[in-house]
Amino acid sequence: MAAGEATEASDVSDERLLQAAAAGDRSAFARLLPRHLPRILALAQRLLGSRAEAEDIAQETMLRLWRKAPFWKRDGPAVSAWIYAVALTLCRRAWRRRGPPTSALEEDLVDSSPSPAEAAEHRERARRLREALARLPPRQREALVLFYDHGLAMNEIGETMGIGVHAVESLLARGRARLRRELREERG
Amino acid sequence: MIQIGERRASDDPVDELAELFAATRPTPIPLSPIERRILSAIAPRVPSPAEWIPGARLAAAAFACAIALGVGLGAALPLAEEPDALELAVLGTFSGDLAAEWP
Repeated sequence: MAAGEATEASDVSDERLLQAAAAGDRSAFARLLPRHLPRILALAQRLLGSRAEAEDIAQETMLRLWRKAPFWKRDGPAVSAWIYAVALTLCRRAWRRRGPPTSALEEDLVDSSPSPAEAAEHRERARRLREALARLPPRQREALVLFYDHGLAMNEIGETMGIGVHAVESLLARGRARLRRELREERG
Repeated sequence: MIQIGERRASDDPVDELAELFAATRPTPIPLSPIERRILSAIAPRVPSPAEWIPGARLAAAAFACAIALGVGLGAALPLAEEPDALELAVLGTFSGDLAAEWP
């Protein structure tokens, strides 16, 4: 069966699409994009607070996936975990390069508030969360974002971050406590 | 009963952190322009080292065969030009004259 035929069905797994991409099937690779781009973009936007940087990171992550596809190992981490891991690495580099996000990117926030007062309150909450997250150690911040924003299970977070489930549990517990403290201090 | 490794935020009671994260999600970025940029940037697949090394080995083996064949042919040529005693003997079995002359 040709690679193109192998990837016709809509329920083809990421792993199968990646194998086809490794053989040079661009259409299989194109089908991976809508599955993963929204998550990478949301992750990078949350961590970096910049839409433009999020786009750059999403693009670089997927280009690396294309380049590395021939070296993919079936018994390695899931494709989604690999993608998250690369995106997190690129976000950390961007963070180190230019520091935490400093300005509020109001246009980047989902604004479903019916009134200007509620919209202002919404923006204020987003700013508080962003600034409190920025004061957390990187791994706590990343674990919290993967858990709350992306709905990943602890074992999936562990696979992405290269740590065990108990280490994830510990990161989340410490991250939650620290984030609550930071939010309280900012309010007080 | 959910095992600890499979636990995710949606399995927990909604607390103020879950609510805060949910309420402040960034606006989704339109995908099409980024998809187009990525697809236009991906280079055509070229054989990776893992793929071309076996190919190179095959080519080297074919080259060695060709050399050996050439050496073999080269060795055979003098026989064709100057038949030695053994060849003469073999040829002689098919030649009445030579056979008659052979002791």
